Amino acid sequence: MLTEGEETERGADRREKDMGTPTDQQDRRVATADRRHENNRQYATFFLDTHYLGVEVENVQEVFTAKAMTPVPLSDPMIAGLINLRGHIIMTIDLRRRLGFDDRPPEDEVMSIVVRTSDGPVNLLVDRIGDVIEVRPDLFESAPPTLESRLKASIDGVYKLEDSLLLALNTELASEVI
Amino acid sequence: MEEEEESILDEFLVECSEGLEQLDQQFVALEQNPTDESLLGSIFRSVHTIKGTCGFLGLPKLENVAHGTENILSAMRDHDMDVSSDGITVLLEAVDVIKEILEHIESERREPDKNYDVVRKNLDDFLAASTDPEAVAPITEAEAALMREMAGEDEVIIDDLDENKSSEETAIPEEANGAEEVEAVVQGVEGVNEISEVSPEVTLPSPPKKSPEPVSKVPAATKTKKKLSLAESSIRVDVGLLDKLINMVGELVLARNQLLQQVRQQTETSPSNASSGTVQQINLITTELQDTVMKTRMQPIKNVWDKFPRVVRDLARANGKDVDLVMEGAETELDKTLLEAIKDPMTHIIRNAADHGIELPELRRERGKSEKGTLLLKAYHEGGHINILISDDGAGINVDRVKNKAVEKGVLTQDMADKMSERESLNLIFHPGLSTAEKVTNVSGRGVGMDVVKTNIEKIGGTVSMSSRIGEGTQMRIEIPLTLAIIPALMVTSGNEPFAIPQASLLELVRVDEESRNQIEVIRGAHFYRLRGVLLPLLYLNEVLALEPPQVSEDDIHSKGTNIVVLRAGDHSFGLVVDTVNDSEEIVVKPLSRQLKDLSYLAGATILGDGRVALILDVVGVALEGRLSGDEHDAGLTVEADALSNDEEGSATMILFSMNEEDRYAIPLSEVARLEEFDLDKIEQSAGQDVIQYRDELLPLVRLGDALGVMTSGEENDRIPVIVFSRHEKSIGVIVGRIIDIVEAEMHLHATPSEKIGVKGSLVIDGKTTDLLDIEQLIDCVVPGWLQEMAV
Repeated sequence: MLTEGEETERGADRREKDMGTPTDQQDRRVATADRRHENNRQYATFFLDTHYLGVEVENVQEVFTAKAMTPVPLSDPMIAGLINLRGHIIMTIDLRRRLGFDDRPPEDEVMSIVVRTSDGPVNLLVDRIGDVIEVRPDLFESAPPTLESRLKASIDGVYKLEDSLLLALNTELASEVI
Repeated sequence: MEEEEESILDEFLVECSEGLEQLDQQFVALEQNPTDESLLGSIFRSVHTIKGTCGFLGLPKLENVAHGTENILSAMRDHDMDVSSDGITVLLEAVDVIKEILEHIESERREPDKNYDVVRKNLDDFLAASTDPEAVAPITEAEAALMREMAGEDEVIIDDLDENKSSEETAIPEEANGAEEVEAVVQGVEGVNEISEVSPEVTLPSPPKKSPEPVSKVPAATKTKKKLSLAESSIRVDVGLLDKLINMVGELVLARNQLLQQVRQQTETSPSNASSGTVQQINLITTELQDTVMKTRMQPIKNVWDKFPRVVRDLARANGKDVDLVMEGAETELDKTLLEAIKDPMTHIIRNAADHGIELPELRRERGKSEKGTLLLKAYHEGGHINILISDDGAGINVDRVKNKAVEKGVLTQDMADKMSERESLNLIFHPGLSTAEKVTNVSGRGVGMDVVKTNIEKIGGTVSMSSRIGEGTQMRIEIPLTLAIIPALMVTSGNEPFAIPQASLLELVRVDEESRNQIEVIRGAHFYRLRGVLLPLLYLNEVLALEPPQVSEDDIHSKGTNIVVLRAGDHSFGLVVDTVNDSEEIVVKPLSRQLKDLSYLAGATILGDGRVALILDVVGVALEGRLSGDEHDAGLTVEADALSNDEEGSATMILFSMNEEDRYAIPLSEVARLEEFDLDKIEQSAGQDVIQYRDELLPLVRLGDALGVMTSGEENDRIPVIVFSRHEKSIGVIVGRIIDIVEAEMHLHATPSEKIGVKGSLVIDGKTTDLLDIEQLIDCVVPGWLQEMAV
């Protein structure tokens, strides 16, 4: 008999492995990318509303289904609360609120991405987890000036992928409560 | 190979630093107790170990100084030289040089370029001068020159003739073979007589020993044995490793708790569960493991205090003072990180005490004190805290001088200074940039320090306070928590969230049943609870933190009553109303993210047995968040007359009450001294007048219902509300039905339909007609002459 928490943790470990060491399937996908560039970067992607975002794989500690957290009264609304991650207390930021999106519908599933920052690990709440993808540096462009200011202030720039735009999130900036 | 050498060097450095830490203290102890042979032996061994290893590692300069030191010690041990204050000073200086060289080796991985021959020469000179004063004879120029030449060489001069003596123990200069030469060495220093005079302890010069101690090999043998046993009983462990171990045990505890919960559930469904015994055992082992691992972080305060005897001795000598350092409770243990944190603040306080606190011997004699000043260090546990007292019997702090200095430096105005209490003035010492030292010395009196001491102590959750009496001395009290890692806390819930309240600020728990709910008073939206006759301000945690109210039905709330946690915040107390009070638990304090540090009510977070995160409340912060200042609390209902508007036009603060729930009356609060509640059966009769014993006096009571000619409800209650009025240092109590509220109301008086005695007119307050009472007229009516009598 497993508690919900343990199930989630196991799931997290599985996913973590998926992210850290690409499986064969991922290898194949990577193979299709342009291999001439040695400066290719790997991004762990996720969705916020209709937007496609990513954080660099080396900054990701783990990913799991969001678990119950302890709210912090009187704190900034973008701080969703505190979670216990194997004995460490980690602050959780609702990325939708942080980046100025509308709140997600309450019935929607929420995912957690724990990223490493200079101030220790921070848990980011996102909508859906995407694949780990490898991008070529020449697809990069700095953030368009017309982008909404809160969003623009938290991303490094944009990768122009074939069928979509990937917003490259700066984990240091995004985990800063302003 | 290189690496191996490096690691040997590191090991050597660690070993040396441990030995040297003790050396300072041992030397001071030896000075006080010069005949302690075992102490001398221990010092000798420490120095000898350093010297021996130096030779092995190829550190000639260090070896040279250590060797010189060892020679003096050897002479002392063999009774060729007496242990004198001057000798100790020379030795301590040498130890300082050894430290200096070691530090250089640690950072640069090689010996410093500096030449230390002078140090060695000083040591040798001292040795030569102090040994066998009787043998002093005039020396020739040639002999002196020979001696100097030899001293300059990297060899050893010693009062020992025996060549057979182990070269490790006491290396013998090959040149110093002949008796003549050795004699030259012994006598080869000028000013021998002077030095003997300086050390008055040398009263009985020990007979010269020209033959070596035959037992000199024995101590070396026992030394090896002792060292072995020491190495067996303790090992050095990296602190990082210990921290990791503690974290892991913390997680184990959490996993254990979850396991216990699951087993409990399983046992409920299938009672015959075989694994419960094993689980119980795991439970016990885990608890024990946790206790033991936590102990690894605890260290005796002695580790910090050990360096103080040297500090005090040096300071006292430099200033020509005589200071006795007494240490009590050195075995008191506290967390390693706390120990580190109090090191510098304590050093500073002790230096201050020795430098400024304790007076010069002549001055002490003039003041009728013993010439020797005493500096007392005392540490002890008390209620989850560790108290450290540092007291001296010195001059004390001149409060006026502190104030003057503060005014001079523009810290406060003369007016402010005049109004300050003695305690407040003393606290000015902790103000940045204030120092009362008449002259700046090289150790203290630069005006930086006491404020740093205070902030450093507060950083670890401690407090510093001081008291001082002119001419009698000064006492500093440092109060720090036992450990930062684990604290006892009361677990409560509010708004469905768990919170931990540190036990240190907990005074008591009060549960108010629904029936006695009327003991909770509401005055202008502020809640108070009558706790043993004192009004305790109440804060509702869910309101302070804007939490959702608990999801319970109206009936539940009524059956539950009100849980009040009475807390101490600084100098005052308040009641925190929570939904439920759970167990008291030992909680592991976890640090919070930097971004949450601004929340004043939050002291940290912890992980509960079920894995949930609970916030730890900062009691002072909660009081601040609830806008509860000490002044408001103290004021309670004792309202100062001039604080409130007594203006008949405009608005005034009114106390609203009712006699029988149908009527409403108001009295300006400015006329009221206090609100009280008395037990009905405490009311007594005196000369046909209701009285009650109140504040050691008899308080006459007036039934307002009788005076107004109205029914008074609530008389059947055990406790009755009384409004106390004071005129000319006399008080009178007016019994009313029920106190409703205190409100701010416009003074728009309407004439009453039928004129009643004691009613000035009607007011509309909160949409209800309220009679404004003329309380003096009423009292005059019931107790004729009371006011007049008072007026006389």
